[in-house]
Amino acid sequence: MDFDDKFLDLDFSKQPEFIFGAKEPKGLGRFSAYEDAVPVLSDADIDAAIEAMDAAGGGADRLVTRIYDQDGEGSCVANACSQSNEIVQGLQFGKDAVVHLSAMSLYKRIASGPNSGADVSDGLDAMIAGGVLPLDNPENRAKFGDKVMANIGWRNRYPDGWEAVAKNYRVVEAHVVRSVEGLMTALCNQHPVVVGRQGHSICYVRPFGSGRNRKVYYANSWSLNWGQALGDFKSGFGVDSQSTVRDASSWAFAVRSVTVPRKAA
Amino acid sequence: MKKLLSNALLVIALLSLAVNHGWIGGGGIFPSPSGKHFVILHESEQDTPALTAEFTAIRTGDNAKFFKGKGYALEILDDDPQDQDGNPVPLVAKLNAEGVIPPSIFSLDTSDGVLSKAPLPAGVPAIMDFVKQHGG
Repeated sequence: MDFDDKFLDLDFSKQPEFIFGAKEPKGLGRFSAYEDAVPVLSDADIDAAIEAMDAAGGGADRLVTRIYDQDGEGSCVANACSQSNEIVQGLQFGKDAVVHLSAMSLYKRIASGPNSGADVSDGLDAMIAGGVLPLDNPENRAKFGDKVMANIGWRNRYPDGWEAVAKNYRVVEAHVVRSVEGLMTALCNQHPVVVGRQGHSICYVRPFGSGRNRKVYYANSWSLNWGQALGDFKSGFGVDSQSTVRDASSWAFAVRSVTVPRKAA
Repeated sequence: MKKLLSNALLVIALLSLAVNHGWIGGGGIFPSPSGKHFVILHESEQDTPALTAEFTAIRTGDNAKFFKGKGYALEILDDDPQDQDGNPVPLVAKLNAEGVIPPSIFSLDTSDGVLSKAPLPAGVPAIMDFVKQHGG
């Protein structure tokens, strides 16, 4: 796989786009472990899965329908969480049916200020408990009226009755990831993995390479003006090598399913 | 003539309202398909790289274009999903009761009646064959 080494193993804190956003998670231990729920693949199985993924033209990266832009606010955790939610929506309902989400509607519930940052485990908790409001765009306005919110803007207020709409976009099944092997297994199973490292949070979408040279592509939230091409996008993605993945895997969770909204009988 | 025009405008307005609110067309808050549609059930704890690669292949490229072109909705759901209130999804409970062990595939009519059911065929071409065969 070709990748742009300009975006390999970035020290986020030294990037001009960086703003502190991911606090050390205190509560990931309360979630069940991916490794306990899903059979962990052997090294050889991971290599085989990656080879097949390359031959197929990609993995969960092909389900990405949007590159987020946190626009200088410390909301990376909420952006990465919302990205994982949208990827699983894409799998369950189809890419055309994905409802793009407002990361700010999640961030406001897990942070204390525009640049306070947030804990990855709180992001997962809030996605499970209350969900995420749809993004304020013309498509969502047509569907949800004023029950939408912009992706940025700490001072934005929740619309009245927002909870009834946000709960349609909850995460249902997710697990903390405890090891690199578990993380690679999740990505081979095309379950997106939200991680935090160096004060920033990103969404891992696809492994590539083999053995010690394995790497992972992630969707960042620094707009389309940043990053390399992948999937349907000409930019927006970065790359972590396995040693960096190892650091990130201590602040990580994988998402398996999201809510299936239905009209009441 | 004026009355005809006014009636036509009323119909267009009502249709637009219905589409925008997801009452028709499968959109809106509730992505419940409104026409003939397909459901694949799987237990995501038992997902394998090969199975999920098939799902992604169905969701992208020419396969996705096929579904869109035919107007077929497809949902790929965990076999024990939750609705927005944390309750089981009645359609999935009904499909589980059909006795086909997941991964499985169902074609459904406009009222969610089961038209056909099968264990999920092996490989994307076989899955698409099922869809083409049972899509009408």
